[in-house]
Amino acid sequence: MNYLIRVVAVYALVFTIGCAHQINITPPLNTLDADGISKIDKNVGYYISAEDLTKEVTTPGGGGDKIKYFPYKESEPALNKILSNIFVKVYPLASADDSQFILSNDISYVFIPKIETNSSSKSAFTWPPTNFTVSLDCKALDSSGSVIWQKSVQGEGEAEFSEFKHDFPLAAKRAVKKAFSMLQEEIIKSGVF
Amino acid sequence: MKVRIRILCSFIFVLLLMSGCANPYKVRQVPFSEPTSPNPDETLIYVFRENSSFGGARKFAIICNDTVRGVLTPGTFCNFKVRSGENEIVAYMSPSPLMHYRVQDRPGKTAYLFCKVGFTTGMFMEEIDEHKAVELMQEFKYTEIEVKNQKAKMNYKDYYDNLYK
Repeated sequence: MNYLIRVVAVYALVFTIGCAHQINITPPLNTLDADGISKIDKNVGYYISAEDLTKEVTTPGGGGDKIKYFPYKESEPALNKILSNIFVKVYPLASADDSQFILSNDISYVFIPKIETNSSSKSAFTWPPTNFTVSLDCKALDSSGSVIWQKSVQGEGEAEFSEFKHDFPLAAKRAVKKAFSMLQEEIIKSGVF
Repeated sequence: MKVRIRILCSFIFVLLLMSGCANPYKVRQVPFSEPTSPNPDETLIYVFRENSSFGGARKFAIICNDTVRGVLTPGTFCNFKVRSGENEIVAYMSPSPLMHYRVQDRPGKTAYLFCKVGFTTGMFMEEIDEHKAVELMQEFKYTEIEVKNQKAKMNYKDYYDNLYK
C-alpha cells in the first residue's frame, strides 16, 4: 500500500508544483491585414537591440504555473508586418544610428518599440493564461536621429478553455495582435509620415 | 496484495505508454529523397516533430487547411507541396487540433515548421531556418502516408480565422 501512496504523492507533487511553460506569442500574421491601406512611398527601418531580442520573461499562468516567452523576438514579425503594410520597404537595423546603412537604403524613419507584458488566469486547473496584456510604446526617429513621433498603446487578449485548448498561447497572441493593429492605426492616422 | 497492486500499476502504465492508435492513413517510415523544387505557384512545406517522449505515444495528423498531408510521431518529418497563398498547417491529435501555423503566401519557396512538444518546453509550431531544417533531416526519420488527400473534419483555416476575429 505504501507503494501506491508513494506513486500518488509523486503525481501530486508533479502536478502541483509551479512550472514555467514555454509559449510563443507571435500572432498569425494574416490577422494583421493591410486592407484599405494606401502605402506610403518611403523606406523605413526598425531597431530592437540584441539584448532585447534575447530577453525572456516569465509571467503568471494558471494553477500556480507560469509562462515564459521572448516578447521582443516573438513580436518582431508583427512589427515588421504592420510596417510592411504601411511603407514600401522595411529594414531591420543592427543599430539605431547606423547612418551609413540608413543613407544607403534611403531609410526615412526608424521605429523603436518598447514592450511590456503581463498575464493572469482565472483557472486553477489549467496553465495557459486566460488574460494577457501588452503595453507597446513606440517612437520614430527621422534620418537625423530626432524623435518625430511617439505613441503608447495597450492590447489585451482573453481566451477561455474551449478556445485555448486548440492554441495554448491564444490570449497572448490576441493581445499582441491587438496592440500591433492599434499601432498600425496610430501610425496611419498620425499624418506625420 | 502489495505485489498485485504493483503488477497492476505497472501493467496500466505500460499499457498507456504502448497502446497504439488506429492508423487510418497507413503511415510508414521511408528513406528520404529530396523533392523537386516547388513551381512558381507552389510552396513546399516541411513539418518536423520534436523527438520528445511527452505525448510520444500519440500520433499527429498534419493537416493543411482541410486535407491530411502527413502523420508524425516523435523525431519524424514529412513534406508536401501546396498551392501558394495562405495555408493553415495544423498538428491534430485526436480529438482536436493541438497547434497551428499560418504559412503566408510564398510562391516558389520552401517553409520549414517545427512542432515543439513538451510539458514545460512548449507546445507550439514555429518556423525554423533552412540550416536547422537540414540538420534535422539528417537526424529525423521521414514519413509518408499511403492514404493521401483525405479530408479533415473541417477547414482549419476558417476555424483559426474565426478564433482571431
